[in-house]
Amino acid sequence: MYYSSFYHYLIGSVRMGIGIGIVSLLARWITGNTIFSSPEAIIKYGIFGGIGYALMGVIALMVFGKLGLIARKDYPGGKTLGDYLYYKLHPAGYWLMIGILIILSISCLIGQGIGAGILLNIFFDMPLLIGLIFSILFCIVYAGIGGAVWIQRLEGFQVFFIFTAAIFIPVYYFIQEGVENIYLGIQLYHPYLLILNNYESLFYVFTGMIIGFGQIISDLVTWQRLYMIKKKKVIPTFLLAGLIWFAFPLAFSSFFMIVIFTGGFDGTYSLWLELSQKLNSSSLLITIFFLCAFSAITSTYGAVLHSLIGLIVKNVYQIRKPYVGEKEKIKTGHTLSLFIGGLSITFILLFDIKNIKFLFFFGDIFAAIIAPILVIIFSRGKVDNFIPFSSLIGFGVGYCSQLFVGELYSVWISAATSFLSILVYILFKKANKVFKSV
Amino acid sequence: MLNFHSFTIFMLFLILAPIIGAITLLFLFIFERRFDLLEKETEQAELEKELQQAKYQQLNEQIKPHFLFNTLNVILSLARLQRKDELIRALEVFSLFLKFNYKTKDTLITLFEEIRYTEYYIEIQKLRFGARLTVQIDYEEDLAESLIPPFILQTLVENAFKHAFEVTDDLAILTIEITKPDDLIIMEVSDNGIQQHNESSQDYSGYGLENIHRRLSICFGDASSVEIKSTINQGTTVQVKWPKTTKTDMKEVIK
Repeated sequence: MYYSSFYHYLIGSVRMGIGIGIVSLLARWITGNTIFSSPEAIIKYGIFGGIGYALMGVIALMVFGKLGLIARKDYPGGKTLGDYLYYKLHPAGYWLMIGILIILSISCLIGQGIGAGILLNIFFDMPLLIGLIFSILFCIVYAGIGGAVWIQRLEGFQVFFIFTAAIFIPVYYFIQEGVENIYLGIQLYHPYLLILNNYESLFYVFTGMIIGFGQIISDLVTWQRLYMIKKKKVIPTFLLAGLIWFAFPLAFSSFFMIVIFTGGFDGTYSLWLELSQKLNSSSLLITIFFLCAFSAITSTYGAVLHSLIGLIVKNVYQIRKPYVGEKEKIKTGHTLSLFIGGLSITFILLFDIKNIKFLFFFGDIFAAIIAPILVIIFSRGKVDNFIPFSSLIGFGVGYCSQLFVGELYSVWISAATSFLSILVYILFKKANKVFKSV
Repeated sequence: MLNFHSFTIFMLFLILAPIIGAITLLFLFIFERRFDLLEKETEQAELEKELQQAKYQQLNEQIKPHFLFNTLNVILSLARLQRKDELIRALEVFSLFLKFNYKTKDTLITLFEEIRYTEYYIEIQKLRFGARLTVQIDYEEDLAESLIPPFILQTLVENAFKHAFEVTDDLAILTIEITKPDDLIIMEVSDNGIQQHNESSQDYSGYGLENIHRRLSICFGDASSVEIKSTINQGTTVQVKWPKTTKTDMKEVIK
């Protein structure tokens, strides 16, 4: 794909309306995690845990639509989250936030890479390394080198495959097995899933909401789309994207009810194996499911990779080298896509593939970054350096607290610490001002 | 515990939710463009109404006897002095100027056209003001194809003549500067008229500026603005901002 400027590579040639905007947001937010983690929510916390998982995405997307519009009115000339932060922060705070955003984006790429590895390993018995390289290479070619135009071209197909699986697979099995048999099977083997007063699930739902909101508010792709969607269509796009997204975690959860009603299971990973065996009975269904999962993972990986390249080239490289030419920027973007792809493969191989505990490490960062970004959005003019640095305080305290209170509570502690530290700072600053004037 | 009846409803919901989502998306893809088109047509109608008002105002302002007689007197004196070449040019410019004012129907024209037709107006004024008038126009060449509602620059230039140059016998300096920082176009029209006080505002009581603001808002929304800055003994600058748009962009929007 030939691009005349880096701007074209970053934004493409389509000004998004509601329809294309929703497709783009769904392509980003129906991720490997939506497919892999939402069933886990239903298994651990029952049906209401599953609904809660879906609700957290809806609320986060809807709220972001409103907040994003405030940010866009505040700085209409931006194209990325980095542009907005450059406008709102002093250098030290800006570079800290850019560092955090790069780390969070790479964490997302690692998460999707793990998903791709598991998927190809389960369904095609492909060795992890080969599966990873294949998936990531695909994303590098279509998103990193193909740029925004190719991302927009493929998003439609990717979302189509996701919809097809979410509609066909549950309908096929619920008709084939019968709802009553599935209900009786779950009642017999997993009655805890049907319990209504599972208060622990409420705590899980609210914790999930904090992480989900932190993910969305600090997500480079979502901010990029915010600036690409026509201004008056921002709120309806995010609102409808949230409502439509709500259907997917629930639909994916229903896949597992098809599996678990026949007996017990060892863990989520074994459920995937059972599901693949069940779907193997029909080559059409297994193809649909594979295309759905592969589309969900690669659309997210591709979009995040592309927006990360945009952030590094536009908000790091260009600031360091202001007179760099357009071709040079595009070339740097291509090189970066290969580098970031390679980096994510290396990180994934360093981790144990089934160990998702590292995600909680990032859960604390997502929670700690909410208050600073909210203050940045609602403040007029430049924001003091302490505000972005409060996310470090929040994360540090939250992460240390994991040793004493566990992972879920640490998310609350991270969020509360950054919020309280900002509150204390603002009160201290006001008191200091009053004291000086007296 | 969830009973069978509630479980069935829950399952029905799981199955129906993606179907409803898909139907919503399909509906949006089919009808969004039509809604946009309808909205665009409404905007176009509103814009045309504004344009008619602007033209009416424009004609009122320009073709009022004062302007017309002054210009005709200048042309008459050129004829009496046997300055044939200048006389022909004056009539030619005056005719082109009137033609543009009467015939413009497009809601958006290129910046090149707007500048060209404003230059006709300035050329007529040069006949009246002679050596007393100095005009400087600076704009980047690649902005020529950018779109602008008609009569924006012309109205600003007319205001400069009306409020600054016609009320004094001093040297009249008119500066027009058009720049393009990022995706915005900034047009600044400055005069050296005598001002009584420093002032900077976005409140414009005059019909001309109000009309410019309204038309820009219809075309470009909040991304456009009009601002007046007056400084004692230095003159007035009117700054107009709007997003850079070309005919190609407009075609893509319509597509």
